[in-house]
Amino acid sequence: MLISKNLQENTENIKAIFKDCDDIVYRNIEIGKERIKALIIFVDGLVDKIVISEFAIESLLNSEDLKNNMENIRANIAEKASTQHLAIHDVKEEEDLNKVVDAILFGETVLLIDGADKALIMSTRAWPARGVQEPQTETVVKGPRDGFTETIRFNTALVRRRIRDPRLKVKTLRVGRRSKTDVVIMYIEDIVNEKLLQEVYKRIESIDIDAVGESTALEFLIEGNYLSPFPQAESTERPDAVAASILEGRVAILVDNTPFVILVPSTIGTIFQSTEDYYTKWPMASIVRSVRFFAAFLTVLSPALYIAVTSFHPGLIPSVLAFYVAASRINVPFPAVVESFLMELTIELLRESGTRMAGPIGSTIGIVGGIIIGQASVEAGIVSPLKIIILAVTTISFFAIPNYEWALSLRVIRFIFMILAAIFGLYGVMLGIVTLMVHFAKLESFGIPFTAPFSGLGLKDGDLKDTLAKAPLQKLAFRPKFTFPKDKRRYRRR
Amino acid sequence: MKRFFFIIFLLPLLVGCWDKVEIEQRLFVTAIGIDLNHEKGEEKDKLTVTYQYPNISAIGKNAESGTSTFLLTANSSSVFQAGRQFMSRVPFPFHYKHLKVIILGEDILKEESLMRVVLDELNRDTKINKRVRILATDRTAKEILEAILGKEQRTEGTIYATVRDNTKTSSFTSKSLADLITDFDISGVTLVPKVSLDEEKNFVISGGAILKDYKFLDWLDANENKIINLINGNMVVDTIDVIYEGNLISYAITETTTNRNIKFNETITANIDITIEGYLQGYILDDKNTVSDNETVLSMEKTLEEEIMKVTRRTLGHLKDVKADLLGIGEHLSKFHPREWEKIEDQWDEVFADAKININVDVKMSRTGLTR
Amino acid sequence: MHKKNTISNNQIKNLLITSVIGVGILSLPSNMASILDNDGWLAILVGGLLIVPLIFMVDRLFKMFPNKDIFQIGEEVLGRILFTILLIVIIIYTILTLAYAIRVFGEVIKGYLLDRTPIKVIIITMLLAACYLARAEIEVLGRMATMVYPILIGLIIFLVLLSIAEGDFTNILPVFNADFTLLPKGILISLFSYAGYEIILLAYTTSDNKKDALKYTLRGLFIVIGIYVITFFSTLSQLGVNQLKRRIWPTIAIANEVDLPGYFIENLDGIVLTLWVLIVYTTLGPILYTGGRALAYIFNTRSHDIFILPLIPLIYIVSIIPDNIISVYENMGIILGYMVIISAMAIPILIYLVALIKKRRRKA
Repeated sequence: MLISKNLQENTENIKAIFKDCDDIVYRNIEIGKERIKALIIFVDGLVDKIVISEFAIESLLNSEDLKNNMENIRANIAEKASTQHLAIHDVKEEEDLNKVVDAILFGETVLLIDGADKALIMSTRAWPARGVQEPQTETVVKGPRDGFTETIRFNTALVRRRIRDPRLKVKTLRVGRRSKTDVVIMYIEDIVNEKLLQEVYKRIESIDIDAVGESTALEFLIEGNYLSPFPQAESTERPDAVAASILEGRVAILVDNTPFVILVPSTIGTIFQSTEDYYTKWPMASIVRSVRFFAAFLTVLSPALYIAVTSFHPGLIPSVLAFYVAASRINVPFPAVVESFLMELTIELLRESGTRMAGPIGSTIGIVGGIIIGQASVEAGIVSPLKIIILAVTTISFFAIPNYEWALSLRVIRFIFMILAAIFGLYGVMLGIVTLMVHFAKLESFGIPFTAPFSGLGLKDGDLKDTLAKAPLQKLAFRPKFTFPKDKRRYRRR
Repeated sequence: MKRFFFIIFLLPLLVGCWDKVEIEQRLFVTAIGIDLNHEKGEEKDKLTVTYQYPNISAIGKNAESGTSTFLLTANSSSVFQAGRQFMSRVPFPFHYKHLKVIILGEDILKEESLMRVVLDELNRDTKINKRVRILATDRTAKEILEAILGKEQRTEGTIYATVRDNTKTSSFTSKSLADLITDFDISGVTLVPKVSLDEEKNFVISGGAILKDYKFLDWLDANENKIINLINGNMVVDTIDVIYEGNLISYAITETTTNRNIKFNETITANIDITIEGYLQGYILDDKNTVSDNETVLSMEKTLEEEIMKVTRRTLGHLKDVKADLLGIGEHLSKFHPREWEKIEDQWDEVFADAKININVDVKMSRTGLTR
Repeated sequence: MHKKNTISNNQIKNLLITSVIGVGILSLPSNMASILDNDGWLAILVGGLLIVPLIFMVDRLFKMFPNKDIFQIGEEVLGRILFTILLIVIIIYTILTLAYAIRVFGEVIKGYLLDRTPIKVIIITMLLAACYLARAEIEVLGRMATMVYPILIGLIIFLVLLSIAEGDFTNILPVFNADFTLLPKGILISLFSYAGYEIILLAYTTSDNKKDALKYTLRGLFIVIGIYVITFFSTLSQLGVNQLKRRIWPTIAIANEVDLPGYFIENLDGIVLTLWVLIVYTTLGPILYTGGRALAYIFNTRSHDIFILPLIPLIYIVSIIPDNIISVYENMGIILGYMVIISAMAIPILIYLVALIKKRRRKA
């Protein structure tokens, strides 16, 4: 539906659409000597009222030019007002009523002038927003501490600051019928692979849903394999991580109302990378990387291995250890399986209650609960001490994995392995590992095989140098191959 | 389709975990003793088998006092059959992967067919680690195991810890089941450490038993054992004491090198050159007898050489008497001169008895300690 | 960008290696030693070298028909009917090989790891797991092979280290003392250990760099030969030739005999076996995949995954026919030996020769 030239008609239409919306403000003014009627509409709370008052209303009301004017004001009043009288930094014309309504809901201010068939949309967005703070989920010891906020424009700015290249492109899409959430795709034009970009567009544009609340919802909608327990994209709160990823040829997807930005594609190598690695010297960083893989291994398999070795194959551990373990378990009433399940479920409970309570209470519950439960169960003779150690190892390794979503998925898998170990011992554990490996081999993240660094792109292309270890920057002259970038070199020695 | 998979995967859950046995509900057999059955009983129960397993409650933090190990004895037809018979006496099943030591009584060592049966059973089974150490005893295995009953110092067995490998002493030669059978295959003879009891019923491991073609041949004492190890190049640290000019000198060996040269003529001629390096462990503390010049050292070395040669000659004589080629000469021939070996293989006993074995020992005293 | 349905040559090479090395490696040294004593490695080497011309032949065949996959080539060269009959032979071969492999696998696992679990359960669970891989596309097989390959190499290096530490290299002597009239028999038996190489027939078309594919497949074959020969020497030096002949599965036995000073680990056979599950899995998956693809061609369906699951009951039934492990090695082993020669060698050679003849005829 179009804007009509008649202000009265427009006003009635808009007021009908916004019936029962008491936070919409309607400001009538008259412009110029001829007293042309005009209406300013905005949402109270989404706009910067000072800008409207001083730069829109005042300019129009006090304009000498308009006051003293002459003929043909009415003719192109809209255009004149916009180009000559509105001292606002961004003004657009719009003739579609629905788009005007959208604009109002986005925090723009709309100026309707009697006799003009276009509405003027002034950019006045301002709403209560958090300032830039240190990201809570990914802290580093030595590195920048700015994190994304909920306002998408601030976020794009934070990335722009780090890549001052006009080839860094920022494309906006809107997702969600009712939420009309701003989704921004950022990439570097001459690095990113065309097909990857098209795949991203295709997937986002094919979403038809009422609302996209924040980035994880979007992430799960555009994933290729939604049944898999493993996420196929990453998200981060850190602008430096996003900038680095874009420079590697990945695509960043920013979503309004959330500080978490989605990065695609993701591979098993990127899951284990953390920004901290790039701020540490390479020997330490390499060891830490390998430790992380080991931690993932431990968090999934420790309880299962405990069950398998104690219940099925005590021949595998040295005799002295076997005897000690047997001695420590003499009066324990439960078999190793039941013990493991009990303890692991208890730890999950603890973790969940720790998350509920924020701040110091949460961490205290964690520590106190852990100590009490561990100590007390051993003393009560319900659980063997070895199990508590295994439990501690599992939980601590969980926190060593940089990607939180992944760590959670691995925790879930842990229980499946425990069941397998309980039935088939080590053979069951291997069956599980084999199935998991095939699952990873099948998994693709936006067309890139998930296991890319390990399964086919070879040693030379820099992927393994930055996955299992962390080679110094001088050795990573080429971008990683898993993104199939167009411009391959990123570091040149002079 | 996916639901079908799911159900299939769930089926094993309903059926049960067949191999699951809690670790504290297993009995870990650490030693087995095998003797000949002298009691009248079933015709086929030719063996007396003794199992030793640790008392789990006596280990660890909350240890209750009590014997550290338990013993069970039964007459049975085979080793594992005894294990089954014990099931009516113990609450838990046995686990054999931690078996460390098998002791064979002298009486069973002399029964060749039984030995073959017992060894095959041990070799065929998947559950036993073929690195178990075999020991022979001139008493019964049961007695030996009973003697250590209250005196175990280590969880996995004191006998095992003592006999594990040859790094501490050369007075016996540690032998694992796998090596035993390999020896029988290659040369027909093997040497197994001998465990015995002294007056206070403590166990002593020294010397060995010569086994030939699955049968007991003869005992070897500690010195002969040392010489054999020396000739085979297996000798580790050990000490030789001799009387030198009226005083005792104690010489500690650190390294030995053996060179063999075996020639084939009418008879076999084997020239074995042994170089021994060591240091002077003890002499006598007085002013007249000091190690101050090279001549003294050389002359000490000579005395040592003579002593060693004496024992060597005795050992060689003994070996030739019993026709046991423990020096690996046959093996050497089979590998390096296969064609000639094939010709004399069947008469090896006689050929060995006639072989000329020349052993040259060169003792070097490289260090004399901190004083003169 | 990564194109659909292509795999890199490196992945093809890894696929070749992991598909071929499976259950055979356990008993190969023993079988060879039984025939040729210390010189068993010769039969292994020669057997492998006999496969080299086959690899060249495969390369030539695909170069004659660029961008066609093996099914299209077969149909074009031999005509649909004849080719379908040959494919049925290949499918039977697939079922037999899988039944044999899974039975041996089950026996080994039951012997060493899971004493009381019924072997049928072990077989079924492994087969079902293999389904998961077999239903995927060739690129997934390639990726899986590339992930497992370093583990395989790690195991072999471990074996080598073991034999250096524990082995007596004089056990390798005497050399060239065996009865060489038995060499052909030995080579025949060793040929069977190279079964599985025919996966390259399916993978070749999807290579992303067909020019260099030959280099990689050859390299893969040589690595397989190397691994087999190393295993032979490793087991020979540690066990001695007599024990080697006596043991059914010498490769596991040597892991058992490790006696590390510090003795932190005992009974390594459990750990080695656990890793070996992975290696067998990467043999079962591709062979099952081959069977599925063949069926997909015969019934002219788009994808092969619907045929995988129905094959499982067949394989299971065949695998439990023999009563014991001796019967498996003797009866099934012999039948399979012949089937390997027919399916893995004769049929590709046939296709190649007919293609050559037709080409010559066309020129004339």
